Amino acid sequence: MPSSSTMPLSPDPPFLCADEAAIAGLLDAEPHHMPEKDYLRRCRDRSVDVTARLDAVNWILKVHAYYEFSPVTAFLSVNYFDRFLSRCSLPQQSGGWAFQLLSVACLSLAAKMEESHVPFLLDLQLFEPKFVFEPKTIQRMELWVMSNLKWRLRSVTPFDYLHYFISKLPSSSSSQSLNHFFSTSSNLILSTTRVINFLGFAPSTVAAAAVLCSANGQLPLSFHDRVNDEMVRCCHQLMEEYVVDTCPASVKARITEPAPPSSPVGVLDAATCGSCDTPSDRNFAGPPNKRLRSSASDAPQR
Amino acid sequence: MWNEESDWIGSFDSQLARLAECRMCSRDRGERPDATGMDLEVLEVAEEGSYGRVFRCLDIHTGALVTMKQITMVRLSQGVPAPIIREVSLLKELHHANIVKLLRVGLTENRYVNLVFEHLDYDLHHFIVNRGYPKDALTVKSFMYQILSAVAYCHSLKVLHRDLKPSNVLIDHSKRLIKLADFRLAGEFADDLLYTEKLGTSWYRAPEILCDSRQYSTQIDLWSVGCIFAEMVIGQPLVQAINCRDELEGIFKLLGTPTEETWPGITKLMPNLHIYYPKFDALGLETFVTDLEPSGLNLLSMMLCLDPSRRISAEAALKHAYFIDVNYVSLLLL
Repeated sequence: MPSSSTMPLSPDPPFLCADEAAIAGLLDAEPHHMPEKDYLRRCRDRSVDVTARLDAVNWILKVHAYYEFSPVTAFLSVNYFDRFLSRCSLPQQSGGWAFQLLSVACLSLAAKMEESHVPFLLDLQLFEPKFVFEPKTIQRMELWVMSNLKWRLRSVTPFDYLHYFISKLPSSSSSQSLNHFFSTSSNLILSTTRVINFLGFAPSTVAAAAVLCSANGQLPLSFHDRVNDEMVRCCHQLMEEYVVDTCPASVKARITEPAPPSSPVGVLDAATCGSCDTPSDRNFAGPPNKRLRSSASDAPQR
Repeated sequence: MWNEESDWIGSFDSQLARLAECRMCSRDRGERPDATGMDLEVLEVAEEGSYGRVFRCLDIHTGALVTMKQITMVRLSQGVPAPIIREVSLLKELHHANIVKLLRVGLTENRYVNLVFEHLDYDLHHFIVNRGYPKDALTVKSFMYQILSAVAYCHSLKVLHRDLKPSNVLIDHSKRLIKLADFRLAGEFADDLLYTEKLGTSWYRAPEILCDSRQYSTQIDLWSVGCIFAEMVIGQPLVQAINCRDELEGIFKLLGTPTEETWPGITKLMPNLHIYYPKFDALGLETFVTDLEPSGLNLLSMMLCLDPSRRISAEAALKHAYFIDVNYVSLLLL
């Protein structure tokens, strides 16, 4: 059976290097593939059950690692999950089955979008879930999710920008450093899915911040003239706080050392889920003045 | 197995019914269209396939003809089939004059997904076989330019069609407009979706796919476009074979059996190449494709290049000298 490590995306062949026009197209499209504008506020004021959300994301990441799905699959699953919840409410008093059903459906949809081999629906339901759903029930949930998302499942993700942003770094010429930046950035991006505060940032901003983190402070002149540098700095700061600071020591070392990682364990065990005032990309009022700490009530219990 | 029929899960079907964007009635069953409850009136079953049926319908609100592809969801163990998810989500992002418009997506009884498309008169296969292939060079040129425009657009979005053939090229006869359809096998360059389902004919499949290469990209679509180009000119498929092996042999007879010089990497891709296939000398495209101007033949040879790395891109093809008078052609025909 596959190991439970996070598989990094292998760098795409040379013909995939995105040009300016392709990046512009992605930047135009990304607002259409994000949760509704008030979703982050609803998560913060607990009208969305963030604990159930975190459980769902953790489960998605575990199954994703078990089957060695691509990082894009995991990110898409969470994207569908959040977009659905931003438009629809699930019953709160359901013992958690509604969230679990939604997470199975979202992971199944993402796998069908991205993977060449997709497990049966019963085989997706790993790690002793409280409920096991019949395929017919999951299919109905898949249809409901797709209808709510207007069948727009080809979401723009931070991974779409990685090659382009990495190419902007001063020391990204060798294939070894490319691999290093790519796998480290991928792991950082995946780990942000657990933290509600990153919902306030566009995929391009998350990608740029992840590349900055993996580059250990090497700053490009600019990632793109349509990517707000202040937003990137703010997202980078959050990333260092919630993702890098809570990584196991080996992962932190991997992020700060230029050598490529020996194994892509990643940062999936990072303790996350804070309630800091992350600015939303859509109504940014300037970066916070201090480094942000998660409040005790929001930090998940270990 | 947990399958509680709570109020919420029980409301799935009503939620889906509300979200479903198309409902149907049928003349055959003698039902009268109800403008408040029905959107489509089925006129005829246009086609039946393994995946479901295609209907010609009337949009009751607008009076326009539409095509509805009703796809049956049978393999419940897999949920909604991946090809449906891919095709619909892809068409939701593709907006181009030469790509068929997906108008609506609807659901019926949780067993069918109904895809409602704009209606076009017929496909290129029908045009070539039943109406006499496009005999005038200007029509061929216009059709080719439109096909390449759509393919270049897809490739700019990192999308491969993977199943280009005359039956997937639709024609609006009055406007002489071409639209690509059937994106079931389409996907991104980067994904590893192999041609595991060797569905349908191999006549339009690139040699690297026939050789079972896992390393393929945009060039596979250009090979298919080249095959379509040749077929429009000669009125029949360039190479017709009953299986992949015979298809490759036909290609090698036409273009010559490849060597490391003509196709670097072929011996690694097909170590037994010279055991299975004789060393054919190229007969040459001009032997078969006789009624094509020299610049057209040049473009065709650049599309039907055995080595994928030397095959012309869609974007470059649009700038080829063959299309130098295409604006005039477009004005004349559109």
